[in-house]
Amino acid sequence: MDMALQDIKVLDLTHGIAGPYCTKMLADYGADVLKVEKPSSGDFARRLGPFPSDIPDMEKSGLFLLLNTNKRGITLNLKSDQAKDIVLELVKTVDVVVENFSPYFMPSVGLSYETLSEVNPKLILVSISNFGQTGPYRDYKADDMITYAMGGAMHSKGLPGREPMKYGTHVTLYQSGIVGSLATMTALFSRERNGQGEHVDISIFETAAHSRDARSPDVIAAQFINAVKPRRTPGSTMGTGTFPCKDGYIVFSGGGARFSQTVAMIGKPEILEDPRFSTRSAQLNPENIIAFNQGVLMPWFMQHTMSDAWAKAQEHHIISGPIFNSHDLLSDSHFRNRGVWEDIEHPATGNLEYPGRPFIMEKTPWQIRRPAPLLGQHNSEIYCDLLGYSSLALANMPTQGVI
Amino acid sequence: MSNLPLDGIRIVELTQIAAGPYATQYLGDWGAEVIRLENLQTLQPGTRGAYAKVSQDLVDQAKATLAQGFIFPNWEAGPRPWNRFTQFTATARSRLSMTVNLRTAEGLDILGKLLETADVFIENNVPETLAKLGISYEWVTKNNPNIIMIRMPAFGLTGPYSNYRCLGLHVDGAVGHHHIKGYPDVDPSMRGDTVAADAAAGGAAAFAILSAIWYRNRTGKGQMIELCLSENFIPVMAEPIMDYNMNRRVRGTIGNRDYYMAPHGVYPCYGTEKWVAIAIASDQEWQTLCKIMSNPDLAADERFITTISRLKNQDDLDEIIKLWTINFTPNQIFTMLQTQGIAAGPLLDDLEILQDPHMIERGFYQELPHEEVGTLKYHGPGWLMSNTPNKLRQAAPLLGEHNEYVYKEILGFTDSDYKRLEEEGHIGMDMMPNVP
Repeated sequence: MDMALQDIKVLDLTHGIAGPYCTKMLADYGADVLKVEKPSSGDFARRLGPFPSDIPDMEKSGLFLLLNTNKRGITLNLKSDQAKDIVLELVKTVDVVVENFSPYFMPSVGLSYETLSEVNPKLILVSISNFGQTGPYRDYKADDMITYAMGGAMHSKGLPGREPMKYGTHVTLYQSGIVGSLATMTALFSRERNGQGEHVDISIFETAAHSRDARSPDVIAAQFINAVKPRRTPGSTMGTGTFPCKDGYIVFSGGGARFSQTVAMIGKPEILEDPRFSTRSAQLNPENIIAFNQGVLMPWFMQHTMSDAWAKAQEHHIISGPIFNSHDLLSDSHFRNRGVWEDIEHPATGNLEYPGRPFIMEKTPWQIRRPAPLLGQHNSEIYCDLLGYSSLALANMPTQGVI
Repeated sequence: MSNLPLDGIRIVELTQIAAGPYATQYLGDWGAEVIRLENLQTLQPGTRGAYAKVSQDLVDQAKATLAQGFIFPNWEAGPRPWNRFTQFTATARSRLSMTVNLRTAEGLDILGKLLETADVFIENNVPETLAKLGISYEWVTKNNPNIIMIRMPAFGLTGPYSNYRCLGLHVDGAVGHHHIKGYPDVDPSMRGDTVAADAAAGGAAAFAILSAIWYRNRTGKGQMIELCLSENFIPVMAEPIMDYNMNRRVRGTIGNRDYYMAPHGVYPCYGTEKWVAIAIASDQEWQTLCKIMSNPDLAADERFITTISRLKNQDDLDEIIKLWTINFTPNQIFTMLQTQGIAAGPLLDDLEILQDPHMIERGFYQELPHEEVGTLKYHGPGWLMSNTPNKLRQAAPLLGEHNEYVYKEILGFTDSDYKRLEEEGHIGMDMMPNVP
């Protein structure tokens, strides 16, 4: 079956989450991606769990296995003397290089954009870094929380009177990976148009600032009113909040224009005659909000299961969702029957179920052609078959500190 | 004359609120011509505001609570509140607006003609909304066999949740994000406030569109793409999902903490609502932090000497860090730690980020004028490209602002047709008087 990006070749110098998710998106839709890892230790995501039975094993990290599907893998010590020549040979064969080192690193090993584009003037180099390739914070360190804290909406997330609260997982890094795959495609369109390559500079800090949580509307609102939105207790508008059900919780937005649907859902249309609840301005009064949310709405939810309450809310066209945990999600028949889970066989772990396609392309579907590579799995294929090293030369490379 | 990578690509959109407009914003920023379909008969809820008629009372009341839907420039909704709604201002730049009533045969006919000229048709409505209008991929390809159509429902075009109505907020809940975020000591009813699925869907949709155009350029074939907000966000939940699949463990929340680093959190600083985030990744970094804190006793404290012991004794650790950070501003700690190679960052609020020196030096926020909301700073196009400098060009369009261009220049309607379509309620710049 055709794949959308099957004519694109990528040299993948990434590690961790953001870079690998970018190249995974490209690989999963057809690109030929060759991943380069440090000899012996590999991508540091190999050391992050989860692991089967919590036993660390560099070939069994659930995170690494998911993020590196459909890639081939070789090892190469980029700091070794031979590395520059090897990378430049590989660069001649690809359309795109993706890297997410600290900005000083690539030039320090003789692999600046200028050098790479000398051997391949049409090359797209995609650099993903915490703060971008320029600017006063360029060499600063960060993790997902810190880029979200600085760039994202974190200041306004969480409860009043407590410390602001981050996302539940590394959302900002994944988002930067998605933006990386989009920027790669945009740069390829630029190349088709102008016949020249590009150095793409993606800052995770900026990704947090332009990714649409509350941040971008709030930055606009703050300029209108010259003030900053406070952290707010969830459920502080009438008909809206996260409510306990018999077996879990539901996040429910039945206020404003949907308020009459909410009172219909709970079978109490007479509420609309109650002056505490009947006008838009009465609905903004904090006492009335508590009276309705806690006095009327919450007891109704507590008599229903999460999925019953969700179905009833949806019958009344009220935007809402259950607070599923992993068990709920993996057991849910809607998701399962739509085929979002994918069985993948891997030599170290055997068969495991992974999150599958992020989207469905009718003519060029997402496909697993190979699981994540074992460390150095394709060394002989690349060094001998592609670059012409003899097997003797390959055998000597580990002791020379190259692979 | 601009020479942007996506110049010459025409995208027609029937998008709402966040995820859809976010996808086309990326593509519009990089040169695609995005034509937004709107209508004068119903206000798109949440996209151009909750109501077409917004009483000043409501705005004044919102001033006290900063209720999100009613923040307008100068605290005035104005005669055309739909052009001044914050969410729309923030999400709808780099596109054109046309109006057409798709609930009429002629309206559909106009859409069909426009699709003949388009490369991409994108929508993110509840599937039944398009079904009611008679719009399907099949119908779309009758007008243009090689078009790329992308649909972005919350849960899919098939399955029992297909027509469930959700925003990013509810999708975050359903795919397990809310379950693994928030304060470990607080009831889950206090957690539901992140909206991360929209941005992920917007970026992925723009990627999907360009991938499909890339394929069409090679083969001549268009196609249908289905991108559900929920499904696209599931890989982002990789760690808890893989943990469940490997170990049948259901992960909960660890708040601002990390599985591998300690201290890892957000600490109060000198001032009101001033916070700094700190992440210590190794024992060596911990020793450096103790040195910066001028606290040799802490450096020697057995409870904190290794990552494993720090992870075990985080409650004590966080109390000690807090008592130190409270003496400094977030920026003081940011500089002290980063210059010693330690990850830390101030929690920038919505005004501070506009003044951040790094953002300013990289030119991230850019000003755009707008007839009804004035000149504001907007976040930039998302990344930089060395050979293609890019500046923002157009703020969010007024309702119907580009009707003349679309109807006359693209579709070739005559002045008299145009006038008739105005009278029949297709073309205009004001919502119909009966819209609440």
